[in-house]
Amino acid sequence: MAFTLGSHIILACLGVGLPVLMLAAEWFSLSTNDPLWRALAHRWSKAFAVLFAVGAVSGTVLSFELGILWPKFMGTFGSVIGLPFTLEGFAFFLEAIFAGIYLYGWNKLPPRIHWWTGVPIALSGVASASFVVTANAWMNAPRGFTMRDGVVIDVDPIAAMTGPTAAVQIVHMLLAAYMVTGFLVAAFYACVLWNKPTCLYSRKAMVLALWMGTLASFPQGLAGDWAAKTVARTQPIKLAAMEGQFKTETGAPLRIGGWPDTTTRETNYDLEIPYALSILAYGDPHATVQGLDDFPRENQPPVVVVHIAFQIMVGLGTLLMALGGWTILSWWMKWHPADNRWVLLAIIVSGPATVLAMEAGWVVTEVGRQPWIAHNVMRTKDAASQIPGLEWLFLATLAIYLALFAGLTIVLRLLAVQPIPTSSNLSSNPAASDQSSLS
Amino acid sequence: MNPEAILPASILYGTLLLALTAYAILGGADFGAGIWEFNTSFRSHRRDRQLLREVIGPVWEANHVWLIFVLVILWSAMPRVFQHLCVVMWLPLLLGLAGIVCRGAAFIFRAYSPVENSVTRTSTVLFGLASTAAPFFLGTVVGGILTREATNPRLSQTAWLNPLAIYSGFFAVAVCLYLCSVFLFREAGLRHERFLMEIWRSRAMLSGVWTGLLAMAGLAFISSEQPEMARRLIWGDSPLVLLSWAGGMFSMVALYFRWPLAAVLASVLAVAAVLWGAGLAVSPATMIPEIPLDQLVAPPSVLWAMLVAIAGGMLLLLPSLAWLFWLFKSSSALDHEHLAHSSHP
Repeated sequence: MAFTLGSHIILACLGVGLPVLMLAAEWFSLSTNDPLWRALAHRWSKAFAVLFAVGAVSGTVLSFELGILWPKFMGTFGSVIGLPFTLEGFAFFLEAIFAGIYLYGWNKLPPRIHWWTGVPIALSGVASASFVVTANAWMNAPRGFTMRDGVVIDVDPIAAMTGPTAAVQIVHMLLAAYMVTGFLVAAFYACVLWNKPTCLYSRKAMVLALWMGTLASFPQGLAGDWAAKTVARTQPIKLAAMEGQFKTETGAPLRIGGWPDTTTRETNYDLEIPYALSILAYGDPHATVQGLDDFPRENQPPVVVVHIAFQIMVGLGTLLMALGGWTILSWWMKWHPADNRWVLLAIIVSGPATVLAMEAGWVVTEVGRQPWIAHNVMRTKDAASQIPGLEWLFLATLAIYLALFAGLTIVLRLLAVQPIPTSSNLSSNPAASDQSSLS
Repeated sequence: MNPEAILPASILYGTLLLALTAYAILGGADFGAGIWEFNTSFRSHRRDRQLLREVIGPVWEANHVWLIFVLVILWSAMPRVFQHLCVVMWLPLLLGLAGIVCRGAAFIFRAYSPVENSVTRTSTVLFGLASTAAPFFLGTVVGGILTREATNPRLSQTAWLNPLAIYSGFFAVAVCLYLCSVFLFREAGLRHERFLMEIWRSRAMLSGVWTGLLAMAGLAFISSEQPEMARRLIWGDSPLVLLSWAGGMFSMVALYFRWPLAAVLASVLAVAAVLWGAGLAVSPATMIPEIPLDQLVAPPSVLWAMLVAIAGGMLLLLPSLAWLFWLFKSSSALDHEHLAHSSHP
């Protein structure tokens, strides 16, 4: 399940971010009539089609897996978190419908209207991501129901959806999605430019994608701070694990790096900034930060994993922000990032780095909540399925996903190495031009 | 059951059946395309595949979202039922799921790969195999629910392995074949592909007869195995089985006289009526005896919130869906395009 989710989250991010890039490219193509922008819009729409399809099937896997792997969780709380999933169903449905219209409608609709049919794709991508994150936020801060004898009563689905962590988790996730798409796409074109630095098409593509990553990376810093403050309020134990804080402390320092030692109950080899954690979490240098040892041992998450993942996320996020800063500076100075090998290298690295940062952030929120599946309400092991041979199931899933990603890579790669269409054959239907090459 | 929950629960169950019907018809027709390819040993020619691609391409994702919709309604409105089904039916659900994943990926890889290579060749085989596996296993799940054995926890892991469930799997595959060929008969006609039209017409008649025979054998089978279920299916409150039979017969007549739209509508009626007959024959209230009635459905607050969400969502969804189908499935939009293409070669 974790593995499926971990793969799906990448596809979902691209599903949120790529339509925006695609629309931006089509917008520029409509306003400048530049065939390169039009080629880019076509190409990105095909990449989006393939990714969206794989994302759609992987989303189907998830909705089945929820029931098959966590039957007790879904049986008990399905009704409480049902509303966001119902709404997500609609958002996803709209996305699928408009994806069909947009992808196959290049020649059926006037250009302006065609552009507008892409807007619902981008909007419903945002909406469906938000609704799904709402359900996850509920797992972090469950509310909107009463338990009696293991049965849920008095459900208030709206309250369940609007928990204290929902808003911040949505913002944090959406910005992450735009960062992942922006930097990942930029990294791809940076790889192309590494060998062919003059390719005009890739230069345009890279800068556009880089801007998307840049614009998302700065508010992400604020959203991250907001997220940490929310965690401090709603899940102090998770904050303690993130920061490697074993003992309760007044005026706690911020630990950068370091390795939490679970036997001596101390975090070693770290860089400590005095009072910084108290300030960041509670806005007061003398605020008390609860340590892990305040909580029963059986309720503590695996601190090493959570702390390290958190360091990775924050560290990479900061570096990505620095890259964003450079993007703005270069725009100011009228430099082109493709002309500097070091910057190009940084952009290439930024792609995998954002994915890593996002996955690390996901580890923080999920592993940081352990041993609970719903914080303080249900333990993960009580929710898990009793199916025999679960490990074989896992291996089978792994194999299918590997095949899926291998196929995805090959097809995307093939799409990318196709010669860039010139203006003469651009007016033809992209579907038709595919057909001729298929035959 | 909480008396306040009965009304919203009934509306939601109706919605669930509607969504299931939409999935069975639209998704089923999509599966059918792969099954036909599988059964013709992948000897489909280029025009054939292009027709498939044009017909399925714009709508297949929307068609398959109906399944997600069914699942979401089930787990939100009847979480304990969902939990129970997932525990009892995990294996066929997973196998069906693997089929859905593989066919979706195979279709898109084949459609979007710009050149013919090992990926597209593997995809073609996978598309056919997975398209057959998915409806088969999903069919066994429905069949398993129909038989009372699904409700017996001691037989949990084998509930889908009884004869009626296996039969349902085969029947689901036959229905997909039949729907697909009737739909493609119309689509080929819309695109003025005389040759393909005739191919799909004969395939439609063949699979229609096959599905009809299978359905009759099935009724005989159910009567002997589950007399009570058969009584409710055939002589229940509404003569849905008869309606289905009439729809199937009329679709044959329409195919014979080459009335594409009438054939499509009649085949839809035939399949929808069977599903509704089955859906009304199982009453969810008595399906899982070990769950107390008051815990079977979610609290009324949740049910009403969902109904409001669904009603609101439909306001956005239905016009969009109608536009999608109008753009890609209506004769006027396609004719317009056909003319546009022929005037600008």
